[in-house]
Amino acid sequence: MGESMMNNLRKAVAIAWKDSKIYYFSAPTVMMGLLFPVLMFLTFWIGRDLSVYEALPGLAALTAFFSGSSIGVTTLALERTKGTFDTQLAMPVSLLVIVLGKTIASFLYGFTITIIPVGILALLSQSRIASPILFLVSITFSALASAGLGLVLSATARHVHEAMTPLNIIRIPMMFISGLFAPITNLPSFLQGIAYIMPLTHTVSSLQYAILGQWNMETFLASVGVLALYAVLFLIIAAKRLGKSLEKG
Amino acid sequence: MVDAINVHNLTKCYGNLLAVDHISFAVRQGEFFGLLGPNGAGKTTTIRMLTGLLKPTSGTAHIMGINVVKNPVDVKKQIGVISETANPYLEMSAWDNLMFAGSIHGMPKGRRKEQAENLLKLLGIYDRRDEKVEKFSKGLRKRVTIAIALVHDPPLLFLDEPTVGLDVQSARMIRELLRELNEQGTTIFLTTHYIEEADILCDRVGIIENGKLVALDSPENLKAAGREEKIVEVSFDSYVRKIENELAQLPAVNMTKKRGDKFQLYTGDPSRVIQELSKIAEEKNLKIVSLNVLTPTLEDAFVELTGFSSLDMERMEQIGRLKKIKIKGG
Repeated sequence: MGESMMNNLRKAVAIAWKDSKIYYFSAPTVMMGLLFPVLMFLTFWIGRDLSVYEALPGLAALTAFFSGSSIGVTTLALERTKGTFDTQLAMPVSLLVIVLGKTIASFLYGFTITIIPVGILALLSQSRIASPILFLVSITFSALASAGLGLVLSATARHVHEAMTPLNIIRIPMMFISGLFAPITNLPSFLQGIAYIMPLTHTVSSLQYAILGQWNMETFLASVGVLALYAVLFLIIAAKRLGKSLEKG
Repeated sequence: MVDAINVHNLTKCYGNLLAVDHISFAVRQGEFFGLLGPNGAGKTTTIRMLTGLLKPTSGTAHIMGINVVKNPVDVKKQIGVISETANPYLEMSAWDNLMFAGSIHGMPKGRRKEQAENLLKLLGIYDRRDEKVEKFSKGLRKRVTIAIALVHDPPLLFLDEPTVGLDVQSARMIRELLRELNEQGTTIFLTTHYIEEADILCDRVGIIENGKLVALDSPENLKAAGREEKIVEVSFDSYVRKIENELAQLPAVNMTKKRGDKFQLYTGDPSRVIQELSKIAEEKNLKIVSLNVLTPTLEDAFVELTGFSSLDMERMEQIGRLKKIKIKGG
């Protein structure tokens, strides 16, 4: 009795494959995962005295965060609306593995959508990324954490807007206190405390180190550690919330 | 041999609402079992608990000897589920839907392909296997759902209102398939509000009302126990005014109903009623066109036990569906 870890991983990959086929090119995903962060970046960049190189961490952070959460936030709610989630639930797979599969799909989307524009911009502007490996590590954990956040919010939603609204209420203010537009040290002290709880803050600081070489390795490791912790916590919380919501019928 | 389904005191409460109230029953392997009941009686809640989708408040349920609450994933390996609310993935092809389901069941690729090919051919959708399911009619989508449920060749199949809203051809095909699967040894647990469907398909029927199992027997035994009285159905060659009143006043007749050009006379003594009918026909110079003694139907037994007719159930089902559409539409 019970499933081996390898079998569960295979099932999670199958769910991720299915989600990628269905959601990667769906309208809400393209809108919220691709267009929104690019537009936000342009709003942030145009008119400011910043080189492409200096703006790269901002673009990468916004894209990783928005694209990573865009699949997670839509997939569960859409499947419940369409009745396909009942089909999934009838199959021999635990809620945790379902959420893991959806996290993998969201992560892969966020990861790919982030490295492509950032890579192209870096090549065109002949910017030198301080540490490409640490850049990939940072994007990985950022996309995982944001995928988890999307899933936590959609776990109890029956319609996409029920998940999208709270996600935007959280992530849009998060942009302004994460060190993306202004250093955290310029914020009032109570906001600084909140800023350090926000996952986007850790995405920004780890990317500033990986791309620009700002801060130090300790800060980078601490930020990536926080993002990894968030990814695991969000995975567990999403599965629990999903289970409770299903119990309500 | 272990029971396919064994349920003991199964109960589900939603707050103060008792949706399923201490029901107990067993379904043997190879049996075709039907659960009948009006809308809101607890059929779907029961099936959701048995398939591991909902945790019971109390009581136990074992599927093929496996505890549903403790090992829901192991139970799901033994069962196929076709529910009214479950749909295939519309954005994927029928073939991809089956490949996905097969991979979740841990089937090797070769077996998955073989099974998908056989099922899609059996269900008449092999030629459209690469089309997205969103292009399919409701009946064809239901066939894909059935194929998904059967991809791992489960020994036990749960069906929640499988023919609701389907065209006659698809509904008939599904009934034939279920009969064939049952003949090949698959245990089938069916919930339906189509009483006739349960009558022609099921070895045994449970009737659930207000969350309680109020009857459990074979359709024929339920019919026999439903009413002691018989129905004498008669039609005359011409209509005579007030004849219904005269028929109702016959000493052996308990109740009369007019059905088109026929009269149904409910009685405990059919032979006496037939004699009295002959007298009336002679007195009024009428010819008897047809005369039949009807035994009670499963619907009669159902009405006796629940107070609902199949027409009531149909109406309630439609109201339920309209409410769902309204909720979905916001």
